[in-house]
Amino acid sequence: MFMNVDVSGGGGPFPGLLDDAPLGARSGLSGRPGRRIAAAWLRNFSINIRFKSFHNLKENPVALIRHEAGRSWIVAADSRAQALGIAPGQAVADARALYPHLVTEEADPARDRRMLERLADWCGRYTPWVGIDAAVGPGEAGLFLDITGSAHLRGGEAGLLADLARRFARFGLENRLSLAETPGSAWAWARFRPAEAPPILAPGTAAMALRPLPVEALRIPAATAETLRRLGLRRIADLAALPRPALAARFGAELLRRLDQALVRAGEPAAEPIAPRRPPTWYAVHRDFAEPLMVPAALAPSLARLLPRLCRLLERDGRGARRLVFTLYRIDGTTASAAIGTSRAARDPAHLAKLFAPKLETLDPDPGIETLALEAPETAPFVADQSGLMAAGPERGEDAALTALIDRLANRLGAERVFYLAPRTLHLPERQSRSVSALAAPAPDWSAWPAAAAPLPLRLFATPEPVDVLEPGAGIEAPQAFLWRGRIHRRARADGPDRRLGAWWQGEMMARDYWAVTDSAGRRLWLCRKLATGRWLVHGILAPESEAA
Amino acid sequence: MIAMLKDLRERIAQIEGFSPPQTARICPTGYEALDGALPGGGLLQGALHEIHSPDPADGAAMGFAAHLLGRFMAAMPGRTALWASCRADLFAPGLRAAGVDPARLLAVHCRSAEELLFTFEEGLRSNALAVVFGDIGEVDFGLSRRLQLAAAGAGTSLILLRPARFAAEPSAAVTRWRAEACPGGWSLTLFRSRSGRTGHWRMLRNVHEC
Repeated sequence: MFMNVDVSGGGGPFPGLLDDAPLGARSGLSGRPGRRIAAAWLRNFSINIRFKSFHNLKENPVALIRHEAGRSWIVAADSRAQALGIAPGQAVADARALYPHLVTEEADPARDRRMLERLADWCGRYTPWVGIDAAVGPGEAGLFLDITGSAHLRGGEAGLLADLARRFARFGLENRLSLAETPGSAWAWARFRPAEAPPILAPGTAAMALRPLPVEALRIPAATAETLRRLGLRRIADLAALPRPALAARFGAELLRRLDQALVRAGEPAAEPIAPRRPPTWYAVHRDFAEPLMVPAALAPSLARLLPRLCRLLERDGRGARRLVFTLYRIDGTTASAAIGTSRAARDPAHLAKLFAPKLETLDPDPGIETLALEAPETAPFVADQSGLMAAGPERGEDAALTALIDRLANRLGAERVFYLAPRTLHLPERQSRSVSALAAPAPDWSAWPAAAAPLPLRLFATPEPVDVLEPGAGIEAPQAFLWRGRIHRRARADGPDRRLGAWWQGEMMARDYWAVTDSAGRRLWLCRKLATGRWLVHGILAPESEAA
Repeated sequence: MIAMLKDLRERIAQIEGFSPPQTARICPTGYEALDGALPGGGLLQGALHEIHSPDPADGAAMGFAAHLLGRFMAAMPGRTALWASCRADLFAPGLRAAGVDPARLLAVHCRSAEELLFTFEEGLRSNALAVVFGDIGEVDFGLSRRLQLAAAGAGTSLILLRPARFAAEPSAAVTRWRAEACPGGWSLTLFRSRSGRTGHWRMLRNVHEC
């Protein structure tokens, strides 16, 4: 795979991403190896996303409930309800006994999941590597962001974390964030750090910092934590002091794995990679707006400013874009994007802007855009158009004009709708050519195709249409008279048979005999008889015969 | 009086988006009888031409269209032709047998008349094509004029294959043809020609003209 070399020394996963921020901001990163993982704990996620807009409910505690097998219980409760002693797992009747005016709604885990996926997509403005935390309790949610090498773009680690916390709060999400070297330590630090402790664990400090935390901070099942507590092992330090074989023998490999993940022990088996939510691209630029963009008309000029920056990155590496994605991140935590493709690696900002033009109308800025990103997920070596260099090269200019035409048509109508017909060495007419997107493939080569031995139609019916034979022909010959499309056709002439076999494994099953039948009015139809059934069908229309011009 | 009429004719032609072929390029049809009747000895390039078909089961118009497609492509070797239609039913081996190289034919499958018109105009304006072909039904006079102007401006021809029921409606096309099968062959009617005479021809098997 091709990789872009980052000249400024960031070396992170997103080096192509250049901001308007001065490059000096990146130097804080140099000489700091290892991963940097942010963890977000959204402890009342289900409640927050459900009730954030219900301002009139402010005074009343709220809870999400679930009915199953005749039982109703609390799945999640907001902080006011929890202060009243209402907790997940409680029967709804018991909760109502504590507080009769409790507002309840049925939980909808599928919707919660969708909302979390959307939030994870939105986090793409920080990094493509965003993971959804699986170790969460009822009503909670968590995210991991691998921000290795990209924090400098958002004002450093502290700046990025503060920015994320502020935005989550604006979305109405109660959150606690942390930053550490592994998902395990970040997870523990987000949930269990002392109130006064800073959210960021510098590299190499996790093992020390996590020692006083309770064993629950290890992402282990409640039953395991309970057993550990009964044995007097309350803190991570207590576990870390024990010999590994003894721990493994008593509690299994899982506890050791969790311990290693949290304490950032080198060479541990489970590195817990965070899969990217979208393919990370090495060519990307973005632009943040202090004041949200509200009007659709502002998109085109903003794109026009991003395109030359991206094209410069491509030019530096001698590449051009085959696909570009323009993503807008809205202030409400949603995203929208538009993509274009090119038939040949391109890096002309004006041409690319033209391809995007019809797509911009589909992007709705509402309620406001705070970040615009432009990425090239697919690139290819750029072959310069030589029209200016070659003296006798009008075809070169035409070539570029054809490429530009294909790009414009394909981006407006759809890549699969602008195509060439490519030959296939098969015999059944409907299999003899296939459509290949002109965006993806060069013009096909038909030079080796054999000359036609029998008359052929110019257009082929998608589905052959059966005829009613009124007067059969002799032997295998085409019928003397037949009814088709409500009209009786009398055979004046018939050329054939042109026998077509299916692929060898289909045997005689697919074989057909084709006849070019001229009727008494001069119309010519391409009739075929299926050998397997003896049925006659019209498969296409031929041009009437005349002496060649 | 004659000068006035001539002036009037030229002004009408201008309004209709048509300028008479003085230095214009001509593409011969390859049928002697037709070329003799057409001004300049063939079809004007950079113009709108229409071929009407009376019946979808009649292949004469498509045959004539494929023949012209081959002629226009031969007139500009190295250039690609474009075929836009709401049907994706072109049969490449058949086209090849009719003298059209599928390797130089870009096909566009549209969903609506709007997309067809967009494709025609982009194709004409691209300066990349030998000729643009398309299937279309309804085209009002204003649209046909716009297409004729686009074709004239680009110097690329647009040839439309239309059902014959639209023949009565006015069009800014430079030539309008009707092709249909007849016993023993097919017949061709030039029922509208901007600067030449109209005519009727029978293309019979082994008989050139009768």
